Amino acid sequence: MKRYAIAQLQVDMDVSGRTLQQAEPYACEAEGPADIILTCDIGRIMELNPQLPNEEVAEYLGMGAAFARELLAFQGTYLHASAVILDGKAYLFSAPSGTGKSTHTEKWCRLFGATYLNDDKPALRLVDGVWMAYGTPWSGKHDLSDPKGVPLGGIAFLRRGQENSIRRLPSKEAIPRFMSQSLWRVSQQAQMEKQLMLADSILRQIPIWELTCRNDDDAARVAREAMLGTI
Amino acid sequence: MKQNSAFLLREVAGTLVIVPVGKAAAEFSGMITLNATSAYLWQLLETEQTVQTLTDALVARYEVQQSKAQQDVESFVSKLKLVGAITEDAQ
Repeated sequence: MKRYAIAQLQVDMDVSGRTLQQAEPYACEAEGPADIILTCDIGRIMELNPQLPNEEVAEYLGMGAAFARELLAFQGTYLHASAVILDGKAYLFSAPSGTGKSTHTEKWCRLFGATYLNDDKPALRLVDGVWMAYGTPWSGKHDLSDPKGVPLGGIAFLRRGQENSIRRLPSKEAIPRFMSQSLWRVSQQAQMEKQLMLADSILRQIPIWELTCRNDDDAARVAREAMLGTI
Repeated sequence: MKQNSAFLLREVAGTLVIVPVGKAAAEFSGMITLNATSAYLWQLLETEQTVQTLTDALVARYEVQQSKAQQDVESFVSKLKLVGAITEDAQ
């Protein structure tokens, strides 16, 4: 198996096609035993998800899901989000597919000089009491990812609207949104308990926002001003 | 009706939620957050209940009007039914 360093964990997996290609920046020399060995049953994933176009996509999604479940054992989970780094911190923009996550983060890169951490499924881990965000090979169709990890600065849930506005979400509203875009379909009770514990910690430590936005540059300015604080 | 045992009540960042585990998780597509009243109703649903018994319990505990209590019960029960969090005995 090939060795990769993802989210500061030693990961072994044998992959091909798109997964292999997107994992390339994470390849490393094996040092000691792996923390995680990833496998998935491509045939079974195809069977359960007949809408998948081919085995390459099934492997990409199956390995991503396996990694997400394994992360739970390392104080980690993931969020379906486009993540950028600005001033040394990660800002995540999450929403159902098609809302405009990547469109929004492209503005952060162009206007503020932010860089992409991950464009689809960044990993989140609690390391020495600090929530960190990491790039992963599961970085979406444009494969925008950076293998590094930086402290998590904020999470915004995006929705389209007529005006640009941003507000802090109370936990009652934040929980369903976070869960619906994170690890949700777990079969074991212990995994769900762990996921809820991690969600609890994230929601207590990290500012969670709701960003209502038009698809314009002003939306990014409104978001940045609130999420980075006025300096 | 009573709780579907595949659903758990947990507290996340100060908010009570009901989440599915196992097979229920694969089919579930939403999430229920609870206030104090609905958390109490969920607790009662550990054993077999009807809209009537739940309404009576709310009236007794919170000193609310019967009609208001019944409204709350019906609204919560329909939410639970929607996600399959309660099971009904065959009559």
